[in-house]
Amino acid sequence: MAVVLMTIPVHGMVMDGASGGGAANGDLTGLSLQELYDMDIVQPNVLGGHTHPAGEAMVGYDYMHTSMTGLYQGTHQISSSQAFGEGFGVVHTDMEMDMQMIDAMYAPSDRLTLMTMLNYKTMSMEHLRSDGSTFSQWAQGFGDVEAMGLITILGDIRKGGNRLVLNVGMSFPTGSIGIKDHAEGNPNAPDALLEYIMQMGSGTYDPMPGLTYLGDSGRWSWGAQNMETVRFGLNDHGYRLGNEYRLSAWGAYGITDWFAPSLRLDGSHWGEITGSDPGLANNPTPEGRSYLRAGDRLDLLFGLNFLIPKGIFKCSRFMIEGGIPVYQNLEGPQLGTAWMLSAGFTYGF
Amino acid sequence: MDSSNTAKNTRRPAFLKRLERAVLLLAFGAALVCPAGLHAQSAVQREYEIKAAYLYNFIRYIDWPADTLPPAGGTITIGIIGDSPFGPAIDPLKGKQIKGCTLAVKSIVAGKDMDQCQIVFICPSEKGRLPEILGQLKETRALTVSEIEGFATQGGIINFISERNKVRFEINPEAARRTGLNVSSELLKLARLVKS
Repeated sequence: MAVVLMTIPVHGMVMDGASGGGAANGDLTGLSLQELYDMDIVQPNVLGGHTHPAGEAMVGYDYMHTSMTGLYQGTHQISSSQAFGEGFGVVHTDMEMDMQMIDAMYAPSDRLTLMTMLNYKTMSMEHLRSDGSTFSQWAQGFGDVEAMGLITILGDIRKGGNRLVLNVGMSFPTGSIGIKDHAEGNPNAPDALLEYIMQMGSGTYDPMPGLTYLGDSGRWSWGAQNMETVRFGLNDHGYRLGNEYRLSAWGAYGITDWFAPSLRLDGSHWGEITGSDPGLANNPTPEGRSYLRAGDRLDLLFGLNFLIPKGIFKCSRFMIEGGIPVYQNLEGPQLGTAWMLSAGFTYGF
Repeated sequence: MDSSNTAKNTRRPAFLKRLERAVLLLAFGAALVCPAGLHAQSAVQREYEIKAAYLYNFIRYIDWPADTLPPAGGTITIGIIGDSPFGPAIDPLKGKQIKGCTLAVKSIVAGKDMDQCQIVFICPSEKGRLPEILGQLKETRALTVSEIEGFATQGGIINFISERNKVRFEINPEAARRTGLNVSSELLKLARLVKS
């Protein structure tokens, strides 16, 4: 599951006292020589800046939870009985995914910011057999490492206003595609390969091109991002995941210098799997079918963004965002998404 | 590379295509048409507010020869040669009291009024005329400041530079000494020292 690269810039919402001195009406003459020496030109703001000015680095930690429930076929939910009627011996009823991600950014110049991300996922899947009995399976591990260059092609981070940023990225197949758990959740049974959705990575080297538009005016900011994950070839298990297309648009308003709520629409499409994993040939669930994996989803998310004004984490950011899908169209039977919640912390230096 | 990427695999729903097209068009249009300075305070303005405050602090941390500074109640003048990049960021300095004098900021023409200024800021617009202007300033006791690359190595005294998103500065101590200025150790400690 790709993570949208959303940090929203609001240049108007700067911390005037970020360096500890007064700065009323742009008069910094009250600051000491050392305070001027330490003062950032591009001021930290409550929503971040997506890219960074030359020489600046940032590390971040994000936690994301996605809860999936209900079987979808197209835009409609179907019952487990209907899925059993299509010949599946077992269906999934719920899936919970927790993802922890660390990311690092560094800007060698005002025009270029480099970024890398590594995630660790924990997933649990609840199953229902046609006889009414249930069982659970678990998976955890590191996902694919992503590296990206964010190149400002229009606009200037120092001037703010409107900017266009080209995203040139690559996902590396560091996540396992051979995750197993006890067959049918029976601790005495041998391990069996888990379904595609329970695997940690794609198994392929995936280019990730994208384009981000950023705008701001006064306390308002807005933006949009198109990000694609294009997959080629086949992985070691004889398949490749479908291409992913993601389009996100957001707006935010800085109520204070340190607090800004945001609203985001996130549309995504993921294609069908090409080929199939022979290890899933006898898997009795719809999630084990490579031809039932495509889907579209539109999520509406509400976020709260904070800038820490004092203390050892001064000018760090904390954000929390939660949302629900407002539209789902899944080739199925396929588990739908119920809600998602994420929280993140970034520290710039 | 496998070329069997099926049409179904790359299919995108119509709503996503239309949304994507509309957003990209809006984004390109806005980025091309809208002025960059819509926001309340840009980093460019902040950069010059910092530089203006530095100019004020330079007066505190540099001693001029006794016959160069005006008597108490007089006026210390910052002269700006060329197209000023400060904009309103320089305004807070006007009328401020420092070393018993009132601070004034005015635009000057190279070769004229320079001997009435205690600080002369040479704007980037004068880059091509820099050797000529520095030559004219040789006979004055003015602290020369600029943000032109190589200014201090060409004989200027203080040059602003950008470093890791911060405004830093170079000082040419030899040029300061030749002008008769005594730069405090606090200022020298923060500066990158350069030679002509």
